[in-house]
Amino acid sequence: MAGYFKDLYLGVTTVIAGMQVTFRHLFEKNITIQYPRVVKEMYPRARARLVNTISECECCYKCQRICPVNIFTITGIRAGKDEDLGMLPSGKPKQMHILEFDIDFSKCVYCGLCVDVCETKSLHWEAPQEVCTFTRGEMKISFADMPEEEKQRLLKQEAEKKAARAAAAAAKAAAGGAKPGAKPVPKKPVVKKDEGENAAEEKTE
Amino acid sequence: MSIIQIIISAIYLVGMIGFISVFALVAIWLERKVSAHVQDRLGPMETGGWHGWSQTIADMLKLLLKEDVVPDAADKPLFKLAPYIAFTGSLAAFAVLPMSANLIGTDLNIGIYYLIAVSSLVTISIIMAGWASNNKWSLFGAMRAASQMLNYEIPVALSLLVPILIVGSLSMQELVGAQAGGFWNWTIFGAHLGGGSFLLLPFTILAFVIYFWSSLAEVNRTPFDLPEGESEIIGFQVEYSAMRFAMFYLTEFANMFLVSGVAVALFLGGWHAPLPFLEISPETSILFHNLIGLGWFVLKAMILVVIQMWLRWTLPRLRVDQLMHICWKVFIPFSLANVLVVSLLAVLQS
Ligand code: SF4
Ligand code: SF4
Repeated sequence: MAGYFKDLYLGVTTVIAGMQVTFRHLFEKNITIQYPRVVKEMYPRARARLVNTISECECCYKCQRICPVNIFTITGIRAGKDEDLGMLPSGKPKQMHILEFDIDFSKCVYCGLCVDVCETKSLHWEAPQEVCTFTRGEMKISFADMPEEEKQRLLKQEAEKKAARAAAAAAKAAAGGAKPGAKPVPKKPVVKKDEGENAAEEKTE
Repeated sequence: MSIIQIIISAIYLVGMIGFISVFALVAIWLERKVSAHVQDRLGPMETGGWHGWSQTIADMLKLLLKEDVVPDAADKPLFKLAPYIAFTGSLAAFAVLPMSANLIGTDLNIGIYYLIAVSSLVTISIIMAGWASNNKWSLFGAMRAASQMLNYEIPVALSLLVPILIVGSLSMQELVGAQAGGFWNWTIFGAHLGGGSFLLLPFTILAFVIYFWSSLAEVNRTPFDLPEGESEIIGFQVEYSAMRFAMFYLTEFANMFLVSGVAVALFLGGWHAPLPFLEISPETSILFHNLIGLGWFVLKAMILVVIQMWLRWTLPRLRVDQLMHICWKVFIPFSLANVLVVSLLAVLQS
């Protein structure tokens, strides 16, 4: 019997205590952030979007090589000795034309390896409030700002150079008594292979 | 019954349906706001501008336009009928609710008795809905609803007996009329037995508390929302959609107002103002007498409705056995003893 009345007492007092708690919360400050009108600051170290400051990139391909999901498409061409492409932040002269620096950001796993490995710190994280896009295609970000004619000109120039080098090598081989089998293989840019892989992936998806 | 009376009744009926709909729209919005602020949120803020005031109107339009799905295996006539019976039951009870001095459907001399009887119709409609849906969870909800609502009828009726004993009438208007002239005359403060005022105070307050809590079970509100149990079985309306679901929702809120209205009429002075000078006497203006009375009635009922919401967002749901424990081992013995003591005092007084 005593237990019965103790239960009753507990029931009544705990209900009153609970109602006091909820009453206090009625007038407490809300935690809701009314998103489109009030935009919350992102944390400065948030990994939200990769950005490459192309003028500071030395086109070393390190980021491309370390990325576990292989989302970089980089094409660079070594500049001639007489060309002046400006300075890198480290004080060294910039040596590469960057024709193409694309990332397919929809595949990124946000591991941050590419940012760690970038020596010039040109590749970095930014934290904009809105990183969403409506289509996957919009997540393919292109950082290279080279105009199309310039790109074509450089590519042509490079092809000519290569042809010339190949011709020189062939001439050298012919002159040097021809080692059989040692064909002058022009070194393929890594990029080309990479693009092929990407294309294959796209098809299988 | 003359033709004029029929027309007046029809107008009152339509007015009552309109009142219930508007009340439901406001109350659902209020419920969302209360629940949101209890949880430190904001609730609806967009629709209609000021604090999302028209959110429920938009929701109602959405429900009206939705597809009305009737399950293949359902018992179709019963399934379709159930929500309307539920609403009819609660609307019929509004007929004897004294909204103001003249604003009452009909002042039956057994008004409160009729009200208790007819509001049980909701139980039948819930069983209909649960059974006809041909769905386990619906049936669980319906069984729980039946046991719970039938059990809690007893403490409700017993605790309503206390003001009836004090006033000595079953007519709603007489029950309200006896509480005129200031809040110290209200039944909850134990008036109307002459010098026995303070003597009755604990018993009337106990009766009010038991009535209020049992009425929560009657209208399936948390902590007694087992028939609905949104987080586990969803309940008897699990198969309902669109307009029929809206009908159940409307009934739930109509019942909330109904039980609060009964509490106001029987314990809290009905449409009388808490202080006599806040009323306009019928000699000055019969219209304003009624309007001010209606205002007080709705205000008091709304306060009780808000307390119901406040409780809902405070307490967790009970288990079925706890529910029965509270009904049979706490409310019923206490209200029985209460009725005995009050009737004894009433006899001694007279
Ligand atoms: S690692 Fe940095 S510098 Fe090297 S290619 Fe990538 S972004 Fe450019
Ligand atoms: S964060 Fe990781 S996955 Fe994303 S681009 Fe950099 S290395 Fe690749």
